[in-house]
Order: sequence, then C-alpha cells, then structure tokens
Amino acid sequence: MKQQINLLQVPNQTLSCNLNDEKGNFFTVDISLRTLPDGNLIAKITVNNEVIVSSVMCCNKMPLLPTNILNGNIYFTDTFFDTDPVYTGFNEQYLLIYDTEFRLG
Amino acid sequence: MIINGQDTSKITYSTSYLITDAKTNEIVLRFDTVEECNFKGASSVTSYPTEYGIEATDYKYKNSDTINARGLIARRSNNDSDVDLIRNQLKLYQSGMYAINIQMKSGLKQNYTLESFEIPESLDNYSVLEVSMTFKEIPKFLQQQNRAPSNYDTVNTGIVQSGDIQ
Repeated sequence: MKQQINLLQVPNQTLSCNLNDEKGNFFTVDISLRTLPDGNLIAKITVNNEVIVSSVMCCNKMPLLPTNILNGNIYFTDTFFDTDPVYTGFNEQYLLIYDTEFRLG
Repeated sequence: MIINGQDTSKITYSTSYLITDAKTNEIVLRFDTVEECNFKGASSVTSYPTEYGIEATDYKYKNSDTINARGLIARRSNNDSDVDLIRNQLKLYQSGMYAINIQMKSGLKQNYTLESFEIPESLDNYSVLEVSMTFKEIPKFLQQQNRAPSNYDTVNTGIVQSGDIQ
C-alpha cells in the first residue's frame, strides 16, 4: 500500500502526519524539509518523537529512512522523469510516498 | 548679518548640498555653507595566508557607501537658536536609524544615516560652529521574491493528510 503525504510548494517546511501500516500500527511522523543553496533537498524525520534521521538528501526513489521502523519506508518519486525532487514540483511531479511494501535489505 | 538689507542668516549659501529627511523631505541640517563633501565607495577583499608566504584572495563584498561632509554655521548674536537646532538635530539623527537623503553636486544620494559627527573647537573656528559628519548608506536588499529558496522562512504546515494512491 502506498500513501501520498501532502506537501506545500515552499522550499522549507515542517509537517506532521499520521501513518498506518498494513498491520494497523500507528506512527506519528514529523518531517522537516529544507532546500540547500545548491538546490538539493534534505530531510529530517522524526518518528514517534524520536529522531530517526537528522539530515538525509532526498533523491528520486531512494528511501529516506535507514531502518524499517515504519514497517515500510518514505521516499520521493518523480512521476514523469527520473530527477531529484524540487519544491516547485511537490504534489505534482514529485510525490512524497509512504510505501508499506518497501523493505530495506 | 545684514548685507544690502538682506538677512544672510536666512540664506542657504550652499544650494548644491541639501541634507533632508528621507521620509518627510524636510531639511534637517541647515548650515551656512558645506565646505566639503566627499563620497566614498568601498569594498572589502577577504584573504587568507597560504604556505607559499603570500596571501590568497578569494572573495569580495561591498561595503556601504560613505559620505563625509563638513558644514559651517557662523555664530552670530541672532542665530543661537539655529546653532542649537543643528546640535539637537545631530544628536537626534545620530541616535537612531533615521534615513537621510543628501543632495550633492554629483547627484542625490538616498537612504543614508548619520553614523557619527564631530564638533572640533579651536582658535581657528572660534566664530563658527564647525561640524564634521559621516553618513553611511543603508543598503536596500533584494525583495523577498528574489531571495534564494534556501533563504526562505520555514513554513510549519501543521498536521497534513496522507491519502492512498494507486
């Protein structure tokens, strides 16, 4: 199951969302997105008030979480091409996805 | 002083130089004459020492433009209030970020603030109030829509919804 997390089309933002995996587990996820001067996007992700990753670069279809704490993972995906996310295309070209079927090694 | 029936204390001699408030356009400092007025533009070049024994330069940034002016007003028996007014205006405009426009021969310089002033007193200027002033430019930064994305404020979007997708 894939869920899309809604974003604003602004360069720097923080948001909270409630995610459910397929087993019914409930996660409170805080995401902070920041655009660097070179245009790259980095994320800080907190799950249930615990910082899981403090600074990870957002690349196309690359998982943002280093663990399976969400029983899945979060990643950006480019719906048209194969480019890394830019804030101007949030929710249209670039979707932030919570994928419950994604498993790390 | 009355010359040819005209009160010279009411005449602004240096019509080329006007120091006005940027908001109200009122003259804030009224001297008998502005003896000199110098404009200076400068920038700073950053450098760091290297193992070759010379300094390498890597960046340069612009400093605020500076205007140094020297104004004179004669101490006469009938213009004590004018002299006091200049003193008070100097203290006022030096104490806060007041924007000042300065009309020079080379053009109108806008958005300056009085950084410092000095009133030297010596035998040479016994009969005049001499004021040396330093004005510094208040730079106008780029408008908000021209900022780099990385410099935008962080927006707290609160709790957002997540929906299933195919």
